[in-house]
Amino acid sequence: MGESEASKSYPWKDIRGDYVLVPVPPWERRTLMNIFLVYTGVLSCLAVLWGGGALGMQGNLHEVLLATIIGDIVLSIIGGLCAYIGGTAHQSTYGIMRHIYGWYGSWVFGVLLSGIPAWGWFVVETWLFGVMIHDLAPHNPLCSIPWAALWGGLLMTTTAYVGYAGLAFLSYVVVPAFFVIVTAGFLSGIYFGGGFAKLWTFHPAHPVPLSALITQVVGLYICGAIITPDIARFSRKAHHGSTAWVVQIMVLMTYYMVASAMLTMAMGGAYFSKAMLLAGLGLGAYFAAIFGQWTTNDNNLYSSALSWDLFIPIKKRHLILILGIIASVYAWYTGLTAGASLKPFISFLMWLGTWLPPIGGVMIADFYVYQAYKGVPRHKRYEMFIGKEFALVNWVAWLSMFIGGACAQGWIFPKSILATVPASIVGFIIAFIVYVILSIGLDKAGVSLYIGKAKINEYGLPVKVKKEG
Amino acid sequence: MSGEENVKSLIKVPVISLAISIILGIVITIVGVTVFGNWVYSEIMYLLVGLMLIIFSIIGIARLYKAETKVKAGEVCITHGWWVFSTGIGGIIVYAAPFFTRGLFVAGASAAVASGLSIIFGLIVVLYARSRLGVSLAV
Repeated sequence: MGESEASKSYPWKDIRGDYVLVPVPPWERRTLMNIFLVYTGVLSCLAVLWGGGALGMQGNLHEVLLATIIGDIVLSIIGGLCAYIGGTAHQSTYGIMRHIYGWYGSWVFGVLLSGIPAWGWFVVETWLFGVMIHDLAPHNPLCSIPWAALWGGLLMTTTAYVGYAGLAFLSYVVVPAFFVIVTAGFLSGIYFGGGFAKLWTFHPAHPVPLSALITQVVGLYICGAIITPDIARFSRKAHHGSTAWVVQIMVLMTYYMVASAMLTMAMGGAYFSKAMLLAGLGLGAYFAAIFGQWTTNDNNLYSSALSWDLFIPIKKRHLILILGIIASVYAWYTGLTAGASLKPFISFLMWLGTWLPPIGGVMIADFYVYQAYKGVPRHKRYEMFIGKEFALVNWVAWLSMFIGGACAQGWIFPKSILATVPASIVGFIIAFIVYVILSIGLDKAGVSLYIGKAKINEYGLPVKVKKEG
Repeated sequence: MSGEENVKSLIKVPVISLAISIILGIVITIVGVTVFGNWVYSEIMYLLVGLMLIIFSIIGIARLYKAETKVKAGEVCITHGWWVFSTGIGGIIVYAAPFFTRGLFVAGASAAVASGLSIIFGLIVVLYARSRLGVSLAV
């Protein structure tokens, strides 16, 4: 079917832009390589290198490799399952939440999952960008921490403003170059740190258990794994998003984490920029700092705006501009004010992060287990059509999510369990199990999971259904 | 002229550009082999960039010959054109660094020139796809 014929059969009106409220139409869907590159663009950032560097201070090479592979397997499974949902429904994570948590649930949990955290991490990464640029050019007034944070944040806002096409374009241009330059950085760091021989005999000064290393790997990207539908919704086939996600996690993330751990073991710290400067790779250091942060941070802003725009009635582009400017100014202010620290903010974001995996656990439980129990064919799950009824609240989904989050906090299980099993995994699994048991059990008992009703109109907006009688 | 014949005539420019990129990749790989045993750190970078250029270009050409429509051919051009362009940027940045050309200035300069040329040919493929095959810059 040609585009013009397909567009005639596409009943939706995309009033917010970038298909925030409605399914992505067939003619806007992208190739597998496009999806892969956008995911990889998110991964290609200095945060993953620092994450690997942190592992390198806490374990020997064998432990780091094992922890990274195990952690990446967990991330592959969770992200792959979520991406498949996005590739089937062709809706964003928050649009999908309408089917699971109800209309109100999609607003609340969308903001919890992405609206606040993704925006918050945009602020943090923008500020860190300012710090890095200042390290590279400390005497240039435009490269002072506050001013670099400001122009960096505004730069990162531009591609998010363009939308998915902007994210994709930047990823196409940057990802292979980033891979080459970062590899050069690793090699120079290992050399200046003492060579490969030093790595085989390295023992950390303060080793941590393998489970703690795995926790860090999973924690680094668990939220990214859950919001994979934001990108996978643009895939042409349901499994493309999952395939792209799994390949980039198992190949690239493993490589980046292990290589940066090796650099840290050699140099005694995650001195990535220093290694590049010693090698005369100043331009490479700038490239990695600017584009590495840019390709990741624009996705943060994009996902944040997607969740807010579900219920804030302004065009997505305008919302991105507003959120991006506020975040850039906040990062500028933090850099400007002597003594200001983002540590409390980061602590808040990390605390919030323990509540997020349960959201994904319920999502996977509903799509793969409950919908299958109800006999809904996979390609029809979360199908959208004008007039479809949604619940306002799925109270079982809300309850399962909170129980999972409470377990991740150590409020229900003893905290000793969390010392051996990562909190994010505990929360995810408990939410999954509780939802499966409650949803199927209550359905068999004739108890409704849902409260209230609303129909969806051609704009993707809810119209309340009046009670009969 | 049938649709398929039409596509075959439209892909000549990107095929030639990617074929040249293969040659450039071979040049860089040969440089890597010739410095074998001298400086392992630069060896690795020559082999990495050279192989990336060769593989991306070979797969791109194979996919272009399989493309049955103008749009599909355009998508292949965009994907592989940008890959070649971006790899070239990475190469030229790395080979300009003294650490990777230690005592082997001619080798480094050759690899840098080859990388620079691959940037140009990658861009040719992308811009051709945009103007003649009618696809966007990011498919």
